[in-house]
Amino acid sequence: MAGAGRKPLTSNFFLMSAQPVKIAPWLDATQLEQTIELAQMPQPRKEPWKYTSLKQVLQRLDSPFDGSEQVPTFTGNGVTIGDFCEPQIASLAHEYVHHIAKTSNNVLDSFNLLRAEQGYAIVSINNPESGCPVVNVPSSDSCERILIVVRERSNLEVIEHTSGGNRVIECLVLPGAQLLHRRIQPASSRVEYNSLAVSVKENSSYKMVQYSVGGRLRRNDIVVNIEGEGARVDISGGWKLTDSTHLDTQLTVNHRAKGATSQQKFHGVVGDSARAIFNGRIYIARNAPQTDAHLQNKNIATSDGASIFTKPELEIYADDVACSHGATSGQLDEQQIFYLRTRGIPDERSRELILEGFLAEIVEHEDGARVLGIEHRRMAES
Amino acid sequence: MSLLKVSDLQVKVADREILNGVNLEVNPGEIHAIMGPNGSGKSTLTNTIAGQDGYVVEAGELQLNGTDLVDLEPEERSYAGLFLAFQYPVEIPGVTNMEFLKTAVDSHRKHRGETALSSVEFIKKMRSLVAKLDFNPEFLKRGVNESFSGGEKKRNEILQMLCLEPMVALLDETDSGLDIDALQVVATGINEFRKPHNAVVLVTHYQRLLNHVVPDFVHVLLNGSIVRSGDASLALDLERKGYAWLEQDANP
Repeated sequence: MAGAGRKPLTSNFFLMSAQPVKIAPWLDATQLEQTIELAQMPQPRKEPWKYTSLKQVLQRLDSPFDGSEQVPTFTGNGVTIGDFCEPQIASLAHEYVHHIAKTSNNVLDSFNLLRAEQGYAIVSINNPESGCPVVNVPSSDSCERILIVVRERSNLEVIEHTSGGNRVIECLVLPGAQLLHRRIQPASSRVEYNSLAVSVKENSSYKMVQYSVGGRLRRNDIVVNIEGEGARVDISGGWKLTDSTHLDTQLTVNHRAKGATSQQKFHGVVGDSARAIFNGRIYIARNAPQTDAHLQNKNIATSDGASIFTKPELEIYADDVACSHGATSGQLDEQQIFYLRTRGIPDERSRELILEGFLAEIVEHEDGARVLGIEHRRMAES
Repeated sequence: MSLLKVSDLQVKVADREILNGVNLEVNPGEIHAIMGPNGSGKSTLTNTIAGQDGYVVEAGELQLNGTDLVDLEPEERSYAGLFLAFQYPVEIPGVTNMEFLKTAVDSHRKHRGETALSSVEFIKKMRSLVAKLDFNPEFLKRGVNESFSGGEKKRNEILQMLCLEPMVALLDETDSGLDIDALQVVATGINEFRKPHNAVVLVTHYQRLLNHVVPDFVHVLLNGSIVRSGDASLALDLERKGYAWLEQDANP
């Protein structure tokens, strides 16, 4: 089906020809469209789109958004937020918008650029003394593009809320910098597509935690490129899906520099007739020896109608690396339930307690606990 | 009235008859030891009393302080005053020991129509128990039995027993896999628990725990029934002679 890539699938993209890119006028829309046309369109039956309807996502990208744009807010010092075209942002935007995402070869990211109504950058300024600023990125039912740049040796925390739109985030974590990225995904009745591309430089750290409940269709594509020695990447998350919701997370960590570490750890609880898809991949290039990379995904299905598709992948071209990967899906352990019941904890509460504990293993913040419905839980320090 | 009464208990597991007529009567203040070789039905007996799925009572009676247990759920047996210390305590990752114990204690209180303990009251109660068992208080913050050593798991069972204050405690091979120090701590816990109004049933392979916790009665379970009962000296005989001589007695 190589020819499928040359046929634009949807009308609006076609009509857009020769229009400038609204949020990034310096980008040539014609060239972008050519890129899209020449690129391999994702193919619906290939692995990344085997369980999620590409057609629904494309229809979403092609249909009008409510356009309810929300403005990010922040606390603390040492951060600037501005539109791509604002003078103090423009040069960074020119340099990085589209370039970080391009490395992940995701054609849908180019669609996003052509359609986006809003584009802004979050830039940390050198701030080792002023502490860590916290930026809140609100949810919006719109098509938007965000660039996050964390300057050398600075810190930044981003709390991102997603709900129903199309958002592409490009992150650049410069040498010695630290970015903590929490993504909160509450219930949603829409089709939602999020794409995240991260470039991590030497001795920097990128930590991401994603807390999700289901949407009508919620898809998260994440690609992290480790491009500097000694970088640390830690990506974890949890999901609790009910009803007929659908969550698909496709995550790749590319090790392209030596001596870096990466962790991927996801726990999911899937009930009713919900569907969870997880594809976690570790790629270790030839020039990335002394890599330490681990991936783990565990799922518990709480009903017969629940579906879980999980696949860990490991591709290694370097010597002298330490790697592990594993994925499980199963039901609640009857022996654990019996143990709790012999202590007087009723059957239903025993099941809840085990599931809460299972999710609590990845929860590191109360916002996450709230989304996963375990905020009442006593935390370890009590 | 006896605290635990097992009468002519016959149990099948996966359609196989494992217990064929066990009789046991435990009175307040008593410590009973049940000994027997592997496969004699010891764990089947404790699991059946605790109410695990898959252990089917074909005939006989099980009573705790006059309450018929057979049709009760495991949690209802716990409310009736039963406790089982597991041979292999189960790990429950992500649920802290403190949270687990408080949920258990509060479930008992709720069943009795009492309000839940405040965190402060509960922590105070736990700290004193933890000190008695020579437990590092950090254990309360760790996941239930998660990466505990064998000895820590067994001590955790004893901690739960002291915390829930049952009338009858069944201890299923609580001594197995313990080093001498841990064995001492477990024995201290059992002696601490022991009161004139409650009772302990120890299921064990070995005599060594019985040096620290002296039983009033020793029973030998062989091929699904109790073939001999005696006092503490029976355990010493078994240690010396093994079980073979009883096997001959049981199948004349």
